[in-house]
Amino acid sequence: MSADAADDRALLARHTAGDREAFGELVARHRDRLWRVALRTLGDPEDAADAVQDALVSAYRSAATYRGDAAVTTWLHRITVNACIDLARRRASRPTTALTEQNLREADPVDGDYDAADAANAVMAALRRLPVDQAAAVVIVDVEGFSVREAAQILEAPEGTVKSRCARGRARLAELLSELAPGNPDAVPPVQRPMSVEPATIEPSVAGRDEDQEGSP
Amino acid sequence: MTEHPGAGHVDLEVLAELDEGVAGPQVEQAARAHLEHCAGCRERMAHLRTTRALLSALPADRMPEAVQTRIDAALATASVDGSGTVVPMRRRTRVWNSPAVAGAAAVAAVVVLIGALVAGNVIHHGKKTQTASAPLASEGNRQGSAAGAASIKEWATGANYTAATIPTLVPRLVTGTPPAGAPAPPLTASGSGGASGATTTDSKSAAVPAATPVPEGAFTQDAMRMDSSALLGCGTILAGGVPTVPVAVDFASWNGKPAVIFALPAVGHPESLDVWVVRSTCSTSSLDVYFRRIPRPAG
Repeated sequence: MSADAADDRALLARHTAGDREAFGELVARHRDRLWRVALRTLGDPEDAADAVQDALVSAYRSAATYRGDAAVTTWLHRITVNACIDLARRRASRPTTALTEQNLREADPVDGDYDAADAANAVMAALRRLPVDQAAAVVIVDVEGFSVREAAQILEAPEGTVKSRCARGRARLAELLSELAPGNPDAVPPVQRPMSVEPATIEPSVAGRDEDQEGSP
Repeated sequence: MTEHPGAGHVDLEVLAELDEGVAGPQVEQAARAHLEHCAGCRERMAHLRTTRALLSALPADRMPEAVQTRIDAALATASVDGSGTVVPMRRRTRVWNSPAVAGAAAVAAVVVLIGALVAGNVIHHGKKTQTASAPLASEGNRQGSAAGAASIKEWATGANYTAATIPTLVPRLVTGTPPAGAPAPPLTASGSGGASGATTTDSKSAAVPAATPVPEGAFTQDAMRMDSSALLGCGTILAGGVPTVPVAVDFASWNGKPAVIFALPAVGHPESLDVWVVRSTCSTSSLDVYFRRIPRPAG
């Protein structure tokens, strides 16, 4: 066990023993990483803040249930990812602008000058188009650099499932990014975003609704 | 799902599975054979790897300050719910005017408390205001400014408050019908307008100079009994550094341990009172408090 992991366990133990400072210290050690996971999985800062808040409050209250079978950071990430997935599924019944085509277009540099910030924006926009379970897998493994074994613990899924989600997620991202690449003559046509919910629950975008409601009051 | 223009090419998802090592053996064999002679699919495989590189190159963003503030407040509230203790997660500059805090009701008050923990200048501010504030009149400034005349309905009921009884007991401090259970006369002194009756409130003058030396920025429960300025100083700490005159105070107990119950005006919420239970010394550095917002009783 690394020194950091041991420190995390000690802090959690102090928290469950009633040390009122310990959980704050634990949060301070991990909050940036948890924030990044939530932001990139959900694609929306407000949603990410909601998810991390839910996760940390849940962790605060359930610390006594931590069994030590995984690192504390794994445990915190697991709770955060679960909060993200829960929130994404709740949001899916009323999609936000984060799910619309417009966001993807906004990341498309019009001047052809494609710099690192554009690339990051494009990746973020593309991530938003992934089903949340694929986004979470890609974020945990490719962005945050967890091993597949750790990711399996975080995502509470077999390693093979994690690999499959990553592979499907990367394929989708590659498509979307090629679509965004400036001057790409062979861009793959955009695909419908398959949020991991019933498509019937997704309302059309505002623009689409206007068109769809032609003739209605 | 991942159709590529041109029949016979390897599906992008299959390429990704191949790259991840999760393609079945037959699929892998066929795909590798195709890749041998298809530059286009090799390019798409390279594109997949570029995608991974782009993912790993995303900037290491830090949690924004506003989100930290909000989460600290949520955790403080969670700790209130669970153990009756607000945990200052970290010190920071005042967040009173932070947009992230504005309008956040009870949570905001907890944030403000945390904001008050940052520095002794909060206390200096309170004292300065108090020195200038002359004897306080009998009817309070309900909006919480200590700069004007105000009174504190001060009690020493000795009642045992709990989270469950706060919503019923505290309004009675305000309306003048203190909690049942042998209310005791206030233990005021130092020339304040000390009440004598066991059930009467004490509209304590706050013009009393700080006669009892206390550590800078700290007010003990005894100091608060003896000295109105200590009460006001603690009220100011609780209100996040905004000079605030408590509507009512009760020297009582919390879950069996001595505590001072503060009912403060809820700034921006005239219909509410912020109830703080101070269980130990009231200071900027170690505040052991319980917080709850309740409706302000009529009268």
